[in-house]
Amino acid sequence: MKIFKILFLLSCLLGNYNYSLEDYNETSPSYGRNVWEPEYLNHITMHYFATQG
Amino acid sequence: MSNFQNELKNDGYQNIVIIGIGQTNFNASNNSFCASSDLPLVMDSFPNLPIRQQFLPYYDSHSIIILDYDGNYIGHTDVTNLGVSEKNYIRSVLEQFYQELILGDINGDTLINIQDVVLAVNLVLNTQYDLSADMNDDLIVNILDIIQIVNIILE
Repeated sequence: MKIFKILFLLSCLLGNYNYSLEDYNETSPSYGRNVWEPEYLNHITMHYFATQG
Repeated sequence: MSNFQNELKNDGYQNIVIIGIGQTNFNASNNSFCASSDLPLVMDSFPNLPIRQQFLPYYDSHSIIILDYDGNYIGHTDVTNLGVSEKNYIRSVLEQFYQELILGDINGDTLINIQDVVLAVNLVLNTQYDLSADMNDDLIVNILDIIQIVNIILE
């Protein structure tokens, strides 16, 4: 059990953020498809948070 | 924000993307983002806001978080006022981590071979898009791109 906790903590520390959600912007070239994965794999991604909470 | 992405692309950074993270409970700001931008927008589900939870402790209102090709954190900055210093910071991060895109090298191993053809075929069959497979830059991956990749291999 301890090893799993350590592995979980390591995976958190090493990053590997991800999500795959539909693009809602009708004027975006990827509108209707799932981003950031798989549409923008092989990209440096910049995630812009305009609002909070 | 889409103007800044265009600036970066004009600087030569092709395989980069800015993704807006909206909230399901803020229709006005989501609509405003779409009206003023051609960048992708995804919705963070209120009240749990799982994307914002995932990006703790870096995320804040009007912030940009930058991740590398493997989804690892490489930088963040407040862009409430997207001025010269904020743009220069983002450029400095990109300079450090950006890898030149090799058209046709879909798996990113710096070679163009049969493995990339297989990946391109899968992209076509699944109607998916990948910049490195879009050989003719028409924003679609189709048989024309596969032909160009095969031609590169045969040359």
